[in-house]
Amino acid sequence: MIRPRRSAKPRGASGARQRLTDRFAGYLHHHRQSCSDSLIRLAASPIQSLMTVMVIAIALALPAALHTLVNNLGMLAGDIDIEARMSLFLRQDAGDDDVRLLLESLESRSDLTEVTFIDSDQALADFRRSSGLDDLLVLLDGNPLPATILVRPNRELGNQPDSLEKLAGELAEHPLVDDISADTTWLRKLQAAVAMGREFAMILGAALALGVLLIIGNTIRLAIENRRDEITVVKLVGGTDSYVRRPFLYTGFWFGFSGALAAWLLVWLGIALLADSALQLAALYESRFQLQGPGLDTFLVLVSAGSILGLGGAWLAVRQHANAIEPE
Amino acid sequence: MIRFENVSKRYPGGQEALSQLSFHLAPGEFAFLTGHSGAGKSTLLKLIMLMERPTSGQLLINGKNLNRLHSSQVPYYRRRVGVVFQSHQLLFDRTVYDNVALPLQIMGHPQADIGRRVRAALDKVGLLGREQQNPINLSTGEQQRVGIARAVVHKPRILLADEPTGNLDPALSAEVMALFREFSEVGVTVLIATHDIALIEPLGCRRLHLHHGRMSETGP
Repeated sequence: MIRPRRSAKPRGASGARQRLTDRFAGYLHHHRQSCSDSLIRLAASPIQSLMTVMVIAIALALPAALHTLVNNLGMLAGDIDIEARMSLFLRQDAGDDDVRLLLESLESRSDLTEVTFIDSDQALADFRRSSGLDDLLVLLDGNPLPATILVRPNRELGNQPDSLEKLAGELAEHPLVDDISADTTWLRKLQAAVAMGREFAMILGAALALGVLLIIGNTIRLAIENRRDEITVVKLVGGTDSYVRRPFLYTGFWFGFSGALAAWLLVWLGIALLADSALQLAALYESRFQLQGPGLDTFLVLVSAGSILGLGGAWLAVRQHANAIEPE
Repeated sequence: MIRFENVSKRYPGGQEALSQLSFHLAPGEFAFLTGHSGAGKSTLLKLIMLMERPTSGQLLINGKNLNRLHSSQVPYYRRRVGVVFQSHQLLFDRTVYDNVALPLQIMGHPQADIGRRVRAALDKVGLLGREQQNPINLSTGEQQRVGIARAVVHKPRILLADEPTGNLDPALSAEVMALFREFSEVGVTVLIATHDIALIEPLGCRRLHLHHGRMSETGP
């Protein structure tokens, strides 16, 4: 009953005398309510919400996509054995026994995983097949191609241009070896590009994160403006600042969270569109490399970054605007 | 319950809205605050609601000095006060029920408790059965009564009303006044700002009269 009981001590300040468990239940209830209400409000104006979510998604997808591509490039750099493979061109006058000894000593090394001998006839046949210069080759007196030993350094070594160069220098000193081809500059360039790409993704990420923060802040500012009357009434009947803040913080969270999910989908979509041409490109390099989509770690980083930025943007807006609304 | 001690309120710009007010309202007392518009009635109510702070003087509610109340404590203080506005301040994006339930939701009451109390409050103002309507579809008098239900649903110890009958016809006004009277009879301290002298004259209640920010008093 609304009618307060007749008593010397009228029961009034029931807010102060509620049981703690009740108040906690009420607090949880308001969290649940704010959480679902804010989602319902977003769904109530789907086009507007979708546009905001897409703006956030694109801003988050750009650094995420760059990060994914750079990761792929990094994997490619690790995957490339064409460059890590070295060709030891032997002297024309190398005797068969000496060559066999050299092969044995190379095979016994732990830093080489694969040693292949290609004699000069085989080399000529390969060249004829791949170059299509049959007519010209007929004009030659003999076989100008040297016998070659292909060696593949182990994986650890394969990614380190410095060690590769050291190894090449060592192998080149052998008296049978006329020349050695171990071009590591390409690998160096690729690795430098990957490192720069990573840094660029970070910087881009930081700049766009700031953008997302401002987008969400501004969206929440408008939401606060639209609900000014409600905030006034809530404050008049004893709503605390955190009570007023709560629904807007949830709104910001939902924007950031759904923006991150959409960003993840965008990156997947982009990678899927690129996958075919990447396969063709890789085939040209005799690599079975396949583009990898954003992994679980990217997903987790994206979603937590989105949610935190959503909350943060909303927090900034609420601090500045909702706290300033006072009943008049 | 409400004690003013030499309270003055001066707005920036030098205009003194209230000067040197001193009065006391006991628990369960029922009083009117009269005066022309601009006499300072609203300012006085705002001081009690802590929407404004006095420039000088002491304002004690239930023995507590409001000057010493930190701003973070203001929401908890306001939960002990019910307030009815002339512009009822209802929210049209929700039902009558949700409007009335708002103070209880803010205070974190259990849902079942809220339902019971909201229906009791609506019953009290004669609007039981209308809780699922949007207040925009109600008449002015009904909206005013929803505002009253919201002001009393959490059983405040103090009930303030600023021109609660401003938009109502005499019959409805008398009804609303009778309602306020009932609350005071069960121990709620009621202070009603109004300029409708004709309405309150026959009630013979205590009257605090403001004139250019100064108070004179006529009593029963």
